[in-house]
Amino acid sequence: MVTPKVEIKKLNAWYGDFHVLRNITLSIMPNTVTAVMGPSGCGKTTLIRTINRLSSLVPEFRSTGIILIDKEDIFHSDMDVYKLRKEVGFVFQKPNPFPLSIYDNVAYGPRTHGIRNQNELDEIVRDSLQRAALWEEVGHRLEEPALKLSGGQQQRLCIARALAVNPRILLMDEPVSHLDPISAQKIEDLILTLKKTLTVIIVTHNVQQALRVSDMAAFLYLGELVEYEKTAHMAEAPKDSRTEAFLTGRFG
Amino acid sequence: MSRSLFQRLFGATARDWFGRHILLVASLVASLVIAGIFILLWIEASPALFTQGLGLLGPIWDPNSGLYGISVFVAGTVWVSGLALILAMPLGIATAVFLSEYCPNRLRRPLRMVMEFMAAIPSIVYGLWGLKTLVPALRATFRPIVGDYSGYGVLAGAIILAVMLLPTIVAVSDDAMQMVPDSLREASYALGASRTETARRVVLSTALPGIGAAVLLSLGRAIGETMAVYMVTGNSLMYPAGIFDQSFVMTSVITAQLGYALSNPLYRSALFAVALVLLLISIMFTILAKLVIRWGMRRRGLK
Amino acid sequence: MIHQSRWRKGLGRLPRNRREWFDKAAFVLLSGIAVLVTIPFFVIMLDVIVKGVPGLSPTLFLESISNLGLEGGIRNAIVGTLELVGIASAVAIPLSIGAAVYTIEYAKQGRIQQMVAFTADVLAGVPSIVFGAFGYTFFVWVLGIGYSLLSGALTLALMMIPTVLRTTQESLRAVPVSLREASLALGATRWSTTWRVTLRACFPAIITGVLLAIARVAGETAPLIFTTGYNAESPWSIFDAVASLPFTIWTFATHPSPIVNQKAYTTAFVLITIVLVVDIAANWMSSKIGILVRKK
Repeated sequence: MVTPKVEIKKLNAWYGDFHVLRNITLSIMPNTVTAVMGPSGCGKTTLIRTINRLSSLVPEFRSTGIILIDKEDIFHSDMDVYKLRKEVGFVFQKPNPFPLSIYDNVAYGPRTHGIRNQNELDEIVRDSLQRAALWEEVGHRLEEPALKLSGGQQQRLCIARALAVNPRILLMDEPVSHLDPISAQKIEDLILTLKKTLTVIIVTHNVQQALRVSDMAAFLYLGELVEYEKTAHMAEAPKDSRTEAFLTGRFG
Repeated sequence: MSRSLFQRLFGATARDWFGRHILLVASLVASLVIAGIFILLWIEASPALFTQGLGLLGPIWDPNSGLYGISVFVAGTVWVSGLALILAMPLGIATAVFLSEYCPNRLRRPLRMVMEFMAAIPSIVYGLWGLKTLVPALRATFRPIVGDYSGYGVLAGAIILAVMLLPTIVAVSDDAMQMVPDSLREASYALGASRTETARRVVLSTALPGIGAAVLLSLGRAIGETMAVYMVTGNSLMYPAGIFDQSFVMTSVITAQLGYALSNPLYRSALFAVALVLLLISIMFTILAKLVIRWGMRRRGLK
Repeated sequence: MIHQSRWRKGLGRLPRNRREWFDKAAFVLLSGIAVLVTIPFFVIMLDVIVKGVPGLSPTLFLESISNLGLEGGIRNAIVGTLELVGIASAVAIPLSIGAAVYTIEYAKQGRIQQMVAFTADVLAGVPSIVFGAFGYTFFVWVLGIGYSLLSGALTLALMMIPTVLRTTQESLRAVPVSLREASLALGATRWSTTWRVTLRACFPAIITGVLLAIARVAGETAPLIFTTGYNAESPWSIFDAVASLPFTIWTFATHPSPIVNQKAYTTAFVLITIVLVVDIAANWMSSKIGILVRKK
């Protein structure tokens, strides 16, 4: 029996008085891609932002319940948040490379975690860019400003940046919603490759995309976990009428 | 439909036409003033420029013997402004980082308010405080150590000036850091960076051109500051060799001596040459500040 | 928002690792510096209040300076500053607003806008003593106005231009095009659209700029030293010499008598009060605009 990578138990979350997540319980297996779906404002972004405690950065945020990553409680007071975020990478909806060179963007994380050796850094940068399928396009011009890249390249750079600290889990918040179809295609292919080495949780409201990339799918509606199933099963035979309504495009 | 002469001269369309041309003249006013100041200072300074030539760069200022070397004032200005900047720059940038990255929201507004009030206090009031409080305090503190020390001089001028520069450095640097989008801070946190690492490696490095411009602008202002510095630096004709020495800065010599120089054309002209140098320095710093921003933005691929 | 939160959450407990210690140390250090930087403001204000307020009396406001400050009040200086600033505003405000309107509403080419903005920025950086030297040559001698209220006021006017011009430009730029188009579509000329619609929309922002400029020049000394002359009474005409608060502080501060020195503080208190009131008004105005903008 494989132990789950991420276990979420009875998670409730609030922004101020607004109850965003209601009693969510969910287990995610290693080396899978899990798609979190739902209409806008259903709490899917908050859910993944809570897994690496990015949501704790907002002052009004508070939560109850447990999230275990490899059996470790991330809310425990002994938890080193910096290490947690190193283990659990995040890719944002809009590409947000630092206004530094391509090299420095990728090297940012490793440097933060104490790697100073130039050869080691070079190695990591090359490896990460290769894993993000960007090496061939930028390998010869690493000193150029990252902001000169196209949107799709910037997003893959952000993925490379996240991979550079060698995370076990990668959280992605609608990573292709701002990109053109060709760039989106490249990133979807990339996700399927990444699955071999890490666990991916991806927020999307594109059902077709979820079908293409994910093994499991979670459907959130108004902060509740309505359904959690193998993606193919959910698409074929949704158990809940709300899921069906969403899959057939009746919520935006 | 024919229009009467009256309509053509005073109707709405005519008003539009006249208005446009009056405004055109108004829009040139800033440029005209700069050009006017430059031309007038040039004319006033030219007797000294042409008769003294390189003598203006000479080391000795002695109008009675016809020696008009302004180096001594340049040295005074470099000492006082330089020390002021050394004091104000780290403090100002640190305060701006605190305001932008660490400060709880409730404290932010009052702190910015205080900074604005500090900028609003007239320089003559800073001078009054410097003359009556700071100089005696410095004298009492350092006399036992340095010996013959009046309290007037480079140190007093630099402290007053630093206090006057701080609000500019803080406000402009804080603005530059506030322009850094939150998405970059989030990206840094998401990679496991701490707040301090984020502030230093993401926010400061992104806002660096803006902060550079803040420093340049305040340096330009330091060189041009008049009353407060005049009142506390002692104004004796000497090359300062240390922070306890007295100094005579460029703005002070104009303030102190233009009144006496009116009857002596060459003397007066030499003072205008100092003013001309001040004008050129201030223009240079304004341009430099703009170039630093543009260069920094381009290097970072922001524009 | 995000970056201003963690501090509060982390305040209650001890740091648990090296980086948290580092963060905490940075916070303590930086907040210490921020406090240090504000101290001079309070020290100077306290100094001026403690030494200046006891000197406040009706005489101060009712009588003019006599016997070089040993007797009398500072009425002529107060009135003089108000007159100087008033005339300077009357000259600078229409010119600057006109310039801003032309560059934004008429001169559509970015180059003219940029050039005017650039020269205004350069003008803002020119040292005040240089304005003084210019005012002395141009107004006092070339135009032959002499040491007078008018020479001083015109010199101050030049210093007001950049602030008013730039704030007006920025606020005009912020007025949505749709507003102008609505007026033009009704057949109004550009001229009347500008005055009745566009300028009205950015009135509060322009007032803010004007107040900031006034607060700045009201405290200027250097431009007045060689332009206003000195008058123990209030001037009868704009061609008479005039006293002003900053100039008076200077002469009082450097006077050998401690009594007069003390009066320098009282005068400084009056000047600071005027300047800060104007500055607070400008702040209040701009915060109002901020709220309006956010509501939209």
